[in-house]
Amino acid sequence: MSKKSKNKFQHKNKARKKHDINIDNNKSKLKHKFNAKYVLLSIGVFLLINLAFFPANKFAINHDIAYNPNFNLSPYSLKKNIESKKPEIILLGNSMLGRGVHEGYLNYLTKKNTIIITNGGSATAWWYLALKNVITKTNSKPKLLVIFFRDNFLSIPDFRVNGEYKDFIDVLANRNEPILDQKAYFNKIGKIEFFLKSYWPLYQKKDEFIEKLDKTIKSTSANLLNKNYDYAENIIDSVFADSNLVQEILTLTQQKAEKTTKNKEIDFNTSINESFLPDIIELAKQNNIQLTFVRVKKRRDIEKNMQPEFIIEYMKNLKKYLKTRNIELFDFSDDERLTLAHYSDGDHMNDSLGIKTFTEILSPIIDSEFEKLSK
Amino acid sequence: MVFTSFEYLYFLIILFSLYWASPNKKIQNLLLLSASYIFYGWIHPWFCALIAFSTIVDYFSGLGMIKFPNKKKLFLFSSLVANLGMLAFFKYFDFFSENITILLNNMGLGLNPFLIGILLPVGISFYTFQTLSYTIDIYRGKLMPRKNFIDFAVFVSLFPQLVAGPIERAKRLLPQIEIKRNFSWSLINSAAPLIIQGYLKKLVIADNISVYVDKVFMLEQPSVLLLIAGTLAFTIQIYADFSAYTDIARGSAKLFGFDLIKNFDRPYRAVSPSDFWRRWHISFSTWIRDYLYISLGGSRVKTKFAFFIVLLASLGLSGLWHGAAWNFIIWGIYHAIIVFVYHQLGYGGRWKPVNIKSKISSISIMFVFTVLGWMIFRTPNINWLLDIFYTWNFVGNEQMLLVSLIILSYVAFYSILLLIIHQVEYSKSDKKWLFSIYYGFAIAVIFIFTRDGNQDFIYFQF
Repeated sequence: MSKKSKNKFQHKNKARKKHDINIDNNKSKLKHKFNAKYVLLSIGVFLLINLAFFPANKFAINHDIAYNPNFNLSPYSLKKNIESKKPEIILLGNSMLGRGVHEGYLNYLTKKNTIIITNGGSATAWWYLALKNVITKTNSKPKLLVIFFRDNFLSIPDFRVNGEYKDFIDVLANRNEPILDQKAYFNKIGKIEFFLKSYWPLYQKKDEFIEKLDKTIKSTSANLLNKNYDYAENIIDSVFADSNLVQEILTLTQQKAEKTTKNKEIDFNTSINESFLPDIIELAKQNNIQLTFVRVKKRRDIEKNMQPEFIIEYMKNLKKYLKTRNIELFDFSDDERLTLAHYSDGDHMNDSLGIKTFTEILSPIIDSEFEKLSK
Repeated sequence: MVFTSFEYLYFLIILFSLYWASPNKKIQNLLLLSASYIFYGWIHPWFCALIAFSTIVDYFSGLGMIKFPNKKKLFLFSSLVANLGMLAFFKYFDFFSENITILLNNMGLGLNPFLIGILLPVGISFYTFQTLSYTIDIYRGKLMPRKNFIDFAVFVSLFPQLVAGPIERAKRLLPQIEIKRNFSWSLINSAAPLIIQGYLKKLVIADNISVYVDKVFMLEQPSVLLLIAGTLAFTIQIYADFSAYTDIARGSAKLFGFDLIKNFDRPYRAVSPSDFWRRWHISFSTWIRDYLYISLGGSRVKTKFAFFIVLLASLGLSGLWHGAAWNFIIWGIYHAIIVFVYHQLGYGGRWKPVNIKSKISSISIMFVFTVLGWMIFRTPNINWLLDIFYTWNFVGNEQMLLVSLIILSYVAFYSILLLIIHQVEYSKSDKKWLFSIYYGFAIAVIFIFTRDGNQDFIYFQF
């Protein structure tokens, strides 16, 4: 730098504070500055609101639900069904199993005593509870338990455990379900949040408040069309069903973001210990029940004609994981015997062809898995 | 790091304690710099290399312009190339590559697009624009370059506004960095309401309404009414989300003695498109005005056509700034067209309605235009949107009607909440006890209505 320009620079540098806008931070113009007594008043109001909800529940997640013996998915009715039929094999899953396999026809084909336990929309939390609180608690435990799943459901423990699904969870749950609470509800939160959820009554009431608001808004809207809340809930599920949502319309950026998020969620090795899978395997082992997993084919698997890379990778890991534990996994997602003609709404099989075909595809597998047990 | 995470809470408490225990400005700034890099590199540490690169280039470009005045243009050029080049590479490469390939394929060449597929570094559009304003201002002789590298690096990376603005000007922020900040309880007093309001908007309004917005815009074929309901919900969501970020950023900055620019001024009360841009994302729109629109001639150009081109370039690029997709570009062009039309009709610039009746009607008309704009902005792709209007099924079946009504009810509910928040924000009442009660309730509402799991702020993707 020449001497002249250096002097010029220093001169300008000294003068810059005069030119630049100087801000007095402590005099910022915020309209509602309030001093200590007002801060205390705010805190006081907040504490008062909290006081209204004391004392805290003993358990962080409240699984109390009105007992209804007519509820066909209660432990009572499920146990009754198992104990009366004394099945050798139980198939467990969601509506894709319920609409995909015919119990009577399967029994006819396999000459075995198999029953199907399904709950539409259920996922691993419910399957875990069904095994822990129903199947293993009956006097006639099955020899073989086949769990039907799709995609990466097995390692998403918090999938479908809230909202309307929570009722189904609570029906099967005991009052104290530490594993369920940890894995389904507190898995993704830190210790402080866990503490808050455990002992802070206002925090515990969250779901109740949200549900009330939700119910009010949905019922008010439904009333305009002379419908009720339950109808509105079903309609929302039906309008926004997976089959009505289009993945392909995502922009490149969105796809990238989606991929990143999904990868994080489904990384098998990191998520396995947080899922219910190890618990399900352990429970089955303790009760001498052989496990088998079946991955069902979705309509989208046919329409897309290719599976996302992360799912392919996930399945490889899952297969490896189960193999080391002596558990078979059957993947039907690429099975060419199942075509669009076998499906009705969404990912469900149709009654005319789908359920028959899938039951027939499944029967030799059930047979061979059961035969292995007698060897 | 996300403002709505527990990590941020710990981060803020630790930094706040260390910062105010620091004996001098130098240590304060060093702390801020380290904290800002930790904040930015929390999930992807390699992001820090980009911001460091941008900092180094602009620091030396600024000094170079003064040291070698006859090569000012060269230094400005190097700053522009480095910053815009980085932006172009990370944000637009795939988009242009895809579109050029489509064009060539239409000409008969069977090519596959070459995509880099790199994750877009969060906030890159914000800090590149911020540092560009520094070098452009030096070039224009409006600002002296800074010799203190740490001060400058803090200006580029100051964590509260790093990933989603407001885009600060060097003239405003650097002087604040260059003075010693002294602790005062009034800092907490002025920061707390902003942070509470921000969390209220983000966690209670934006995150809750986003559930339906996301679903509507992923439907294969929603009815027009459902699309309108979804867009109205998005209108609430994007404002609540983005202004929440600014509020939390401003509140967090205040805790450390900084005063950041206000980024929103009740945008849905705009009476014209020009007025809207004076109220929406103010730090960005003034950036575009000062460094692009005025540089191109602004409203002083001679012909109407030239004026339209200036608007098209300024607002079209504003659209592109938001993301590498056609819907953002079309959104920018749409705004250019309405600004131009309003201007030609005599409602441009600083036009204001003369009476309450015309104020109500002009706000209503502008609101409709704004919502239509958000429809373009939020659409997953233009074909999807055109298809809905082409098939024109207004109400759809009874199921769609019911879902539309439910979403509209949510919109009404959250609009009322937003109005209450605004009422407090802009109130001139001196009943401080009333505001204290409000903030006490607000904290309770935040804890109750916060959804499990953090959702990113919308503007992170830009």
